[in-house]
Amino acid sequence: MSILEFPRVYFRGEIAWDPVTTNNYPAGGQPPLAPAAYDENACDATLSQVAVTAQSVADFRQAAINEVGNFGNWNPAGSYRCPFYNTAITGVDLGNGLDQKDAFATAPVDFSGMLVDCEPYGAYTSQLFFDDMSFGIEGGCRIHGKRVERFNDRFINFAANPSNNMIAGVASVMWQTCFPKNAGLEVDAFDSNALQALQGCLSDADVLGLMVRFVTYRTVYYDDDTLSNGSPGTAAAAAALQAKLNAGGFQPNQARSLLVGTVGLWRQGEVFTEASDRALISTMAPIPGQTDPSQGGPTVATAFARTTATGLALDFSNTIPCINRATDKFDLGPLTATATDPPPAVAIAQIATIASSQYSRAAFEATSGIIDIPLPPATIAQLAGMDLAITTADGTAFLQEDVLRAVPLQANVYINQGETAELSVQVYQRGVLAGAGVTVTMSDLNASQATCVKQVTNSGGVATFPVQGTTGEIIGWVFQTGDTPVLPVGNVFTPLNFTYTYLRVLPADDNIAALPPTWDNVHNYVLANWEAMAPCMDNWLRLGDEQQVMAYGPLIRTLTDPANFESFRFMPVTRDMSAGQRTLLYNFLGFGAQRAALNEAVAAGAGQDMQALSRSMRAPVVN
Amino acid sequence: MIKLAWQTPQTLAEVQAAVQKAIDLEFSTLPPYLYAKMTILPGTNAPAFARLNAIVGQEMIHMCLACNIMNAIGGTVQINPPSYPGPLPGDVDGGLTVHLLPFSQAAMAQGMAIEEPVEAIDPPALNLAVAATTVTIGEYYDWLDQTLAALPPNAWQANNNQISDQQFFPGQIFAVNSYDDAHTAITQIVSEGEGTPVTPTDNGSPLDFQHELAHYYRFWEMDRNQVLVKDPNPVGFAWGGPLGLDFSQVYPAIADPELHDFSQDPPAAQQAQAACNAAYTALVDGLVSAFRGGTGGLGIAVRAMFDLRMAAMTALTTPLADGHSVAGAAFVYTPNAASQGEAA
Repeated sequence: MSILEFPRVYFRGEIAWDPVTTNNYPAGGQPPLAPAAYDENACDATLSQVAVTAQSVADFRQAAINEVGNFGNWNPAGSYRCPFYNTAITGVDLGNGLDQKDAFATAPVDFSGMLVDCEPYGAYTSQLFFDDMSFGIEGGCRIHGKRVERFNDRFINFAANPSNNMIAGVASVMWQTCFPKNAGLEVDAFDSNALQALQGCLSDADVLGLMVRFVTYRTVYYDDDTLSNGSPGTAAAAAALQAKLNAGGFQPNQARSLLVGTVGLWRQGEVFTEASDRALISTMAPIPGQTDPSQGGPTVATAFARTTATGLALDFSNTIPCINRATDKFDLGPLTATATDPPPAVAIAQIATIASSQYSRAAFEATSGIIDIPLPPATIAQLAGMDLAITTADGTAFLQEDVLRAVPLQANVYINQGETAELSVQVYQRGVLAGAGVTVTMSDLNASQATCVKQVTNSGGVATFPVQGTTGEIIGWVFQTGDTPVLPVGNVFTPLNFTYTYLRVLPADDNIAALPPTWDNVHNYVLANWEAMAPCMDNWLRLGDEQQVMAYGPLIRTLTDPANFESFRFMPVTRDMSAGQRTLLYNFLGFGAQRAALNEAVAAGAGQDMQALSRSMRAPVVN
Repeated sequence: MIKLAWQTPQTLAEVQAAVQKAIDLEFSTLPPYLYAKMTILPGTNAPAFARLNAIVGQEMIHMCLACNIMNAIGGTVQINPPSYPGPLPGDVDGGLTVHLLPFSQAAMAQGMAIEEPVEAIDPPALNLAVAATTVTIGEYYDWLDQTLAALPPNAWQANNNQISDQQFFPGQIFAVNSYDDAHTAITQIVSEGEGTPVTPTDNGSPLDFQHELAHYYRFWEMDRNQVLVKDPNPVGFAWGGPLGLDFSQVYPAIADPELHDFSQDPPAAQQAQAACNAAYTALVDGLVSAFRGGTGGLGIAVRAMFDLRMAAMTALTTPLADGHSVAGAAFVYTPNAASQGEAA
């Protein structure tokens, strides 16, 4: 039953974001042009394609510095590293309410990930690659687990805090992954009742491991929480950063966010990549007195729900927007949880009232946004067949249950040109696995009715869509149930309500693979890209230094091995080295690597342009 | 146990000198800890590497905080590179000569000796009239804290060349603009080094297992090759399972490379050592610049630190004249060599 089941462990703190931002912009396009730009289809920094020199790499780096402030390239010297800090267990709940005195409370949470966007120009595909995560310290009450896969972001709300109008400071986003119990998960319970309870649950065959879900919000840039887009203060901060960058050295400029999260159980049938509980999706109804969400006004965002043994659990961790930079929550008055019989019957039952104190900032920080509503057993049983909604006193629905929901089994998929893959979705009906015969439509974000693809679920409620990598590209695939869904063309798409998978096809680069394995070729066609775009690499390996590259050949081989794709230390961090580039690199390093045979390319059905909305979120911030 | 001389400062200049000694102390712990960490063979002894990595990071933070205190009271930060082997700055007992030792039980025991706390938990008396005494590092900070508390408000300068966590160590480095900030910094330094004793007014403990264990106890774990674990016995902890260290998985690095005559070694070894010294020199110079308000100073120092790491990795794989042993970074400050381009 996910993190909404008991026992739960709550945590709260902060995270620093240190991505390289230089690949957020394409070359050309609308002025002002970005001299330091990136071609995502070719997986290439747009250096001179004729003859890359040390000077052209240096020029590219300088161009990236020059873009700070006037092109939104706020962190050209980032390291991709994103650690939690000031983060600790805030309490536990065994089903009897919040307990802040459990022996596990106040234990620190240790996490460090590498932030990489599958689609560099967009904002919907952020990933945190990491190896393991610790709650508590070794020797004491502790959970230490190795991830099944990276954290993926979903349900990004670009109107979570309109008052914090600095780059993505307006946004909040949910992250999730799981830690399998049979792959190194350790729970050292000692005298913690919560950990003892979790330990006991892990012996249940239905429990696969532990799930961690957290929400990041109130992002601050330049370490200044007063800045706003286009303000004099922002210009001054950008100028100060440019001065540092021009002085040399290693000059990261991390952003930072607040976070709340929960650790709970991961059960059979639950997708690890994103919340697959009952989804109460946003109706985009405006908050009285505020700008309409379609115009950027604060948005009450998608929530998740589960019935527990004692009532209804609501995950509001990403739901109630903030009214100010201090992250106080909008007071929407008493909210009502309703349950409706499915059509054609329309009996509506008010099942509970949610006071504003239950979704206030204090409550949110105490229980990571989870609200428990006690209910009689009979009501709990009834809810299994009814549609949930959250409304205001005047009947306005802010959230409405998406009854039949197709949740992707993979969040972001990388394949090589010429390869095939299967994109699968698990269909849930009110949070329970659906059966056979449900039609699922897969469409890209600019699809027409004629080009979408339909599949039907098998007996396990899974629908599978074969896809082929015909050319280097990135496509956002959206999944909807039903026979005639409204396709999410253009701005109709919202990551709050739609489920989606991004497919990134890396170009084959056969021409690069066939090049003589000389240093010039390896540098120009393989290494110069990351040398230019990620100056932080100078800390670990000078990619323009032939001797260093040769000296670290075995290590480079390990770090770039596709078998280590999920690893924290995989190189390149951006996961965009093509098969051809890898072949040339390995040939140069003397490994005689045999490039994997490419599957036959498929000429028809070439991918379409990337959808525009996500990229608009990365639009240049011109001061 | 390190014993430092403490004499109650009578003037602001003397307070600044006491803070400078703290800076020197923090800086001087870095080379021995780094030498031990860097000499672990790649892919081995992960528990030790993680512990040493955390300790080194915290020592860097401690030094930054001490520098922030110095700037907050109007002093001028000096970075004084020590020699190894040698005593720690201010050690009056002469009881401990600190060496640069490759990863070994001896190196861990040395770490324990540096970080050793007062055995008895003895809440310090607020007696600033004491003339002179010898104290542990933790006690030294305690006296320093009381001395800073006695400074008049106008001794504190806000926003004077302060280094925050804006670029590095998020949540762990902060500006010192007042005595309250300095007290917070000293509390952090002591609790992470020796560990904060439990007193009626302080719930901290080096072994409460709610916070990262103090350095002394992490070195103790590595020395014993055992994990400290929470336990319901009266002291609250016990020795648990093995840590899994293998002290043979280490580069064949000589101790105290500063004493070694590299002129008899192959040119590659000489160049590798010169590169280490050049990077170390740039690191020291970068720190001086950073704490005196230079633009991008800390970032420049951090880049030099990474250069030192790369140079040390090369040195540790470059045989000396005997064809077998190697040398890690000697941590020798060579400003003249660097300026004359003698370093590789």
